[in-house]
Amino acid sequence: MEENSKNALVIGGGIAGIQAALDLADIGIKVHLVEKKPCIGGKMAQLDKTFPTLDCSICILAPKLSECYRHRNITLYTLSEVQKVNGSNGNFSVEILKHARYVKEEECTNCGDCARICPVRGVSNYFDADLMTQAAVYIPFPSAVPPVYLVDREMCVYLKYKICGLCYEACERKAMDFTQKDEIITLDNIGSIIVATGYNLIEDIDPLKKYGYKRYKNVVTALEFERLISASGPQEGHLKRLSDGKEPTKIAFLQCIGSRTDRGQKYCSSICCMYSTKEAMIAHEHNNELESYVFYIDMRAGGKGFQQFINRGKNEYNIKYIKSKIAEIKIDDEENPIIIYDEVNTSEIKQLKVDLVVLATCIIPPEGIDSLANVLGIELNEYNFIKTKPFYPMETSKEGIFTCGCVHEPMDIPRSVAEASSAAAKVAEIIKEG
Amino acid sequence: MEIANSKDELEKEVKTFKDLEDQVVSINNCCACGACVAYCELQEFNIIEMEGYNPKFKSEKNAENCKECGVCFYICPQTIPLLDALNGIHNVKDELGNIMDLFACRTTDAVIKEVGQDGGTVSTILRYLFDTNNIDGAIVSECDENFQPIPKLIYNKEDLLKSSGTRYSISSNILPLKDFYNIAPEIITKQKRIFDVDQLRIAFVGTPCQCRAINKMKLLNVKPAHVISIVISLFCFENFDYSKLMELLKSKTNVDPSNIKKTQIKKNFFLTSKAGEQFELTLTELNDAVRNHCHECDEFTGKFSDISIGGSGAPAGYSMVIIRTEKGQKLMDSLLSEGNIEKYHIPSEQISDWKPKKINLFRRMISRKTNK
Repeated sequence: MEENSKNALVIGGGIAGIQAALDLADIGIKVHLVEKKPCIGGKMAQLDKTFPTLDCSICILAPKLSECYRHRNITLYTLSEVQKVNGSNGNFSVEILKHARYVKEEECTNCGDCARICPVRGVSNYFDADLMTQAAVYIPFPSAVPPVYLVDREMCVYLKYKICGLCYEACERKAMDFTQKDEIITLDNIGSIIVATGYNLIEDIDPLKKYGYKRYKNVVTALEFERLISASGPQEGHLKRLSDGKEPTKIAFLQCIGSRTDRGQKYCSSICCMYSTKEAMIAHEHNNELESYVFYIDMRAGGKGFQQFINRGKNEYNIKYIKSKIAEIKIDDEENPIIIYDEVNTSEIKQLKVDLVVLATCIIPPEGIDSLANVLGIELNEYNFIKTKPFYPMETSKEGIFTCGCVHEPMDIPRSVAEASSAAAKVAEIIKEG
Repeated sequence: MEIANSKDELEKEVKTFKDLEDQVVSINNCCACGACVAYCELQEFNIIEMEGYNPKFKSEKNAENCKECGVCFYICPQTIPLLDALNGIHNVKDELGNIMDLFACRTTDAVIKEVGQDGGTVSTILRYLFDTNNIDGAIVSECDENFQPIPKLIYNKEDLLKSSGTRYSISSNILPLKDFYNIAPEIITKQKRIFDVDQLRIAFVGTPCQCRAINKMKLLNVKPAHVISIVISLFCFENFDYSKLMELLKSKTNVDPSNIKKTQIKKNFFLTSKAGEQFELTLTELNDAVRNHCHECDEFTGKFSDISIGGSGAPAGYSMVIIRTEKGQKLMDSLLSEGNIEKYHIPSEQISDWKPKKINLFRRMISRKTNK
């Protein structure tokens, strides 16, 4: 295949960025894939199953992760951020800040000897939604890509006090490298850029006190629930309450947490009606006696097979959908949450005692979007997502810079993947012609 | 400071247990907290152990096996490293440390009142933490039939009362944590909700030097201190070598260790025998039993803690409490508002100078110690 004179840059290594990078790489375009976190996979890697097919999330994602890692046309930069962009459509030059990992990527065999001997414990693990802890040298999850450990620079005793060094001695491959420094990598000849930096969740910026989150152990967020029910999660697939380890028999899923309100995010988070139904279904598969209650404002099931999915929930999975407004959550002496709500159809104030509450928290623009938009010279919309036009959904306000996935509006995985391919096509057009 | 810099070695400050032996243990400055041994044992290095009140290499061969990580040296409460950082974190500006609040209080529980030391405050706090599911265990010091303190990691509140009251002898309170990963599964079986042993929450009660060690460890986040969720420091003027103290007490009061019911220091040393006899001794009379490291110590109330508690300065039947941190404040507020403890009402004529007087007393105690 003929070499292209220009390469592509994809910012963000979640499912959208990965799909875009793979599409481009497969047609012979060299791609630089930049990810801020230590590994690629994004939020999708943390999920237990996906809707509406109930596929195991990591099972369908993992092949894409390793393909990305091994693809001869993809260069992966983890722990990296884009900090400067010059030039214009067809010819950008980009500066990446790559943070030190303190482990040689080419030497680490992912054996874990370093973490076992590390004297530090109790560092919370972001991948398990902070429900698990780890040492100061860690890998976010066992099958992470790249399969390479890294040192938490804030927690490492050696980096802070120049003592210890136990991991350095323990590593048979001599893969620990404390001489690594953060480096700036300059990439020239970038024909076009895709921004796919995904999203954060409302709990990252709002303590959700109104719902007793953090105060009540049996009130968890949807992402925490995904980890709790996942076979690779902290409870190894046995769903148990955080307060007493009891298996829940009644779960409430509260919709629109932080979204569709004048006091928070005004928009619909788009995926919650579906994923809450999915979570209730998975929980039902763990325990056939389970009763689930979805407290919703409006049911949003606009996708292929989505309405049938909701119907299956009602008919086969014992899910009751209650059109309501939540007033308050209390707990009883056994830490069982009691939901006080206004049932819309009857206008009655009612209460329901459950074992566990799952908050469908709203998607918000990703952390650092302001500075990234600034660096790229692109505009954001009124909600701080990347601004796009209805008929040019992949195009940002700057020529040659495209976007896909949740960074420009909340969306589900199938649409993120579709958009990623669409953005890749746009980029290919520029690079192949250039 | 020795810096290794040959090519395939890590550039680091090489500290070993040998340094700890030379700089602390050999000059009788070890306070027997057990931090070094607890850490090293949890690392499964199998190198050092406690022998009486001192840590030592298990054998000469083990001396060569030291991994030279230096952590034991850094976390030792008697070494200089980390002290500046610790002072910063705990907002320590003078010899008394940070004082957010200061008051006297006592338990409202009749059973604890009976067995507790002064106001029974420590036992009440621990029971409350167990009751409200805020801790999974606590490190306390129990007492054998000969009045010798035995440090222990307990995880049932029923075991709490056994540890009430003060024994004025060294108890290596950090040492029980060396078995943390053996005990943790038992705690988890009991407390089904926890799935990560490293997230267990243990309350620590100890002397100022022990609390200093715990906080040095917490600063580095090294095991086993990562599971310590609250630190309660006991006022400590000085501490005694168990055998020497018992020998002295026996010679001066003729009470056998197994017949001691309670001991108390309130300016002087008070001993109550099981037969109900009362004895009063001056601290000077007991000086020979005081551990050497106590003569070097400049702490009294325990600067590095969430709450400091002791009898000195408290009205009879009450404990003095110093709140050090937000966490300590929140905890004591809940205990007070839920009626588990009650505050001493300062007589109106004393209100204006009650606190300054107590603070002055603590300062005097510290200067008495350091000028001794």
